[in-house]
Amino acid sequence: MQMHPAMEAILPKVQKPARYTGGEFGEILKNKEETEVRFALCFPDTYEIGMSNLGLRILYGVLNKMPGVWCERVFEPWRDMTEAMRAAGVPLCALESGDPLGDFDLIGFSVGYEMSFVGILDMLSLAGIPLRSRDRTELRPIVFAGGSCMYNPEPIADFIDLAVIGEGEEVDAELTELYRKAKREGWTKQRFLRAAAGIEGVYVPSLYDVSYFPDGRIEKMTPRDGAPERVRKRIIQDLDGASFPVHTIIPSTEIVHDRTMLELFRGCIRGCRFCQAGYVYRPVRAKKADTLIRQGIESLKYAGYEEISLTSLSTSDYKELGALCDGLLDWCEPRSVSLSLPSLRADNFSLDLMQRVQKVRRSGLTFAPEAGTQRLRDVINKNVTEEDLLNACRTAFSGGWSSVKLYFMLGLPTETDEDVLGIADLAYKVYQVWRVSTPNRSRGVRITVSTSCFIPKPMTPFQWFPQDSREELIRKQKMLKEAMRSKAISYSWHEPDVSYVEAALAVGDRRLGKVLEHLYELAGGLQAWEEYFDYEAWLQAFRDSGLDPDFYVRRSRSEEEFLPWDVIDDGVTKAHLIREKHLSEEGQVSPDCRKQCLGCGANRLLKGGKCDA
Amino acid sequence: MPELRFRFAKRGRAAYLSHLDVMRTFQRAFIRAGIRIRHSEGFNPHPKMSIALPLQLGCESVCELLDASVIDGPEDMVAALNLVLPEGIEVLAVGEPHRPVREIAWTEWSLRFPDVPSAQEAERVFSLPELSVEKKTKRGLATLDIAPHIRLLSREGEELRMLLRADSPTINAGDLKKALTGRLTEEMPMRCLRLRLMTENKESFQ
Ligand code: SF4
Repeated sequence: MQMHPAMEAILPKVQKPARYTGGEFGEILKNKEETEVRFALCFPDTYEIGMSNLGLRILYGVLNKMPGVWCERVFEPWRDMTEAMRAAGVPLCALESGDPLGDFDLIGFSVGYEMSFVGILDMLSLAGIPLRSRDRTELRPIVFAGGSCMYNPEPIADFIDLAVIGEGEEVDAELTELYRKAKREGWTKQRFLRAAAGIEGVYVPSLYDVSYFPDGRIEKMTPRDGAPERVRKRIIQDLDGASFPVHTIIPSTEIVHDRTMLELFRGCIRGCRFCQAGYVYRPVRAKKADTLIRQGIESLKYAGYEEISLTSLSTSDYKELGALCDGLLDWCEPRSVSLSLPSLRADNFSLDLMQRVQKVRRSGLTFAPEAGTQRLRDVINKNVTEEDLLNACRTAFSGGWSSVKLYFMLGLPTETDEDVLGIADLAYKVYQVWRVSTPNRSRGVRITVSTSCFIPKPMTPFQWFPQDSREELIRKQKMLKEAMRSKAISYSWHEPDVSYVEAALAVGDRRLGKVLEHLYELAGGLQAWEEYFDYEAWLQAFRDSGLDPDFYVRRSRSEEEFLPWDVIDDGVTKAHLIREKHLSEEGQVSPDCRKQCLGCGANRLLKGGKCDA
Repeated sequence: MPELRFRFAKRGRAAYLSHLDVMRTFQRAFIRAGIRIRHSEGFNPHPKMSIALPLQLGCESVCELLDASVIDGPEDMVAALNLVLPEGIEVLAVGEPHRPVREIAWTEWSLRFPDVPSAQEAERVFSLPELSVEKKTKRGLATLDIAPHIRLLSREGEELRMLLRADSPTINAGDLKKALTGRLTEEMPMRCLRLRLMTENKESFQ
């Protein structure tokens, strides 16, 4: 590690300097002279957020296993650091070697949140790398992006040379090999991109011409130079055999998820109609409990963490959950290591399990009914009933729990005031359940209700719906706040301003490139942070670019419309999404994949073509 | 096993770890190394360990002390720990503490400047008969004359050696930086390395 000389003067003056130094336990250092391909794994948000991302750690492990390849990490600095670096003329550097980002061959961003798109620009700019793909003419660097936001890569199409669609473990390695060949043989950037477009799961935006109707809708996107009509996402077939970062970096400074994380399965058997993750990660692929127990224990031993968390979209749907928890607890309990189980569903909640799990340290309970009435829960296909929720709460309260968090969404398609008020009713019923079931009323109860705003997400049955207007969302929030009937219930909500921008970015097309670049000039990076999110600047950036955010956010798209992400194929057919949309409009629910296969199409991604839900 | 005292160095990139970061790092390194630490009783048990005289962010040291209540561990704890500590933190020795931490009265420092003239200027400032700096106290910001609490030992080239009072009042490298600010023609970087802890009669404290 060779830190930039000016860093010594900067670091003592910025907040939490340990975020910028690297050198953690588990960091991988290689010899530059023996490295053929230098890979910068970038995360367009802070160190604390990025280091909490399991996907990033998986890729770091996979890439560094490749001989001749050195993968290093780069995060977006906090504003004080950005300013200090600019003032001192220090470019953005990688944590491992301390070398400037501009020295790298492949610059790959992992993007999991639309609000961090601007972070990509912030980081490229701080590294002195031209922002737009067309302004980077050499083979080095190739700038690309992967992660869950790349199911619609179009909003950042101007900036990236390519996008990786789906799970990156294999594609990133193939891309790196291709780059190695290109470097050895002295290819041009163009030649490399055309060849990369031949890798399944690689989307090269510059190889698609977009034409528009006069009203602004996309007419079509036409591939050139042999690029595929649609780019199909990649998945890992066998998670048990896939690389898992048992020996991963353990930050010395505090991060958001400062614990060992175990991924039980990918995908989700449920089909909540608003949920992008529930669709794009299909089909469900589970790891065996044995594999997980082994990897969990090894990870804990290596890390020295005192907490392990089971992460998945819906943990309680894991078939072998009992066996897994038993196996882990046998090791964890005597060592005072606690096990946490986020994302439980109210309809298959087991107190027995929770009590075993929480013996070491007890945390709060969280449920996500998402909507206040059964009618609306049916519309969104959240197959949880009021009775399920109240039963789960009753069990928990009588078992000694005294706090519960409830998550809802406002502005869901077809929502009426009755549905909104239903949230307050449900929260009050939970309160009443507590009164009759708690063994100890004097301790009190904390019921926390929080609402987010519905955001239409690509690749879901709700992708065609508009978002409620800002005024309407604020009205609903106020109405709900006034309807809360007990001091024990607290209510918090997401700002509709952020959700509005997020929606525009989620369903946007490549014309948003102008907006992002202009917004960056006006307001800088870190837009996912309240401190730096600048709503007025966003509106101005849209205006100055001649675009109306309402065109994206407030418009109902027709089922026939060509959508910006129609060039991407996540395995689920459009016919299935349309079917689900119609069912939602009729208030009809659909069974989950375990009960009955609905023929969504994702099974075609599996060798053998059969889902094991 | 009784209370043990680990002496460690904190250098290079590790200089930017905060006191809490170092505590957290050791807590995990002990687990990795198979060293069991006694925990406090109560609702939120935490390992019984403490670090004497927290170092300021950006300073290096070769004389940090961590006292921990060890239950058991491998034969060679120093080696076991050094295998699992992050870059820049190195355990130098372990042993039973002979005297309590409160007997530390002075700390010895090496201060490095970019060149000889700046070191000479700093030498001049630190030799002034009166050196008031703003210091945070329990009662808020106060002005303190630190001159009586620092001793300039020597200057060799661009390096100064100094003694700083460790206790009532505690003078740290930040106070020296503050003392230089405004008294020098321009701001200059100063690398601070804590070399030694000492008792009132200037014996080495370990
Ligand atoms: S193919 Fe059937 S079982 Fe597989 S994900 Fe789709 S609906 Fe579920």
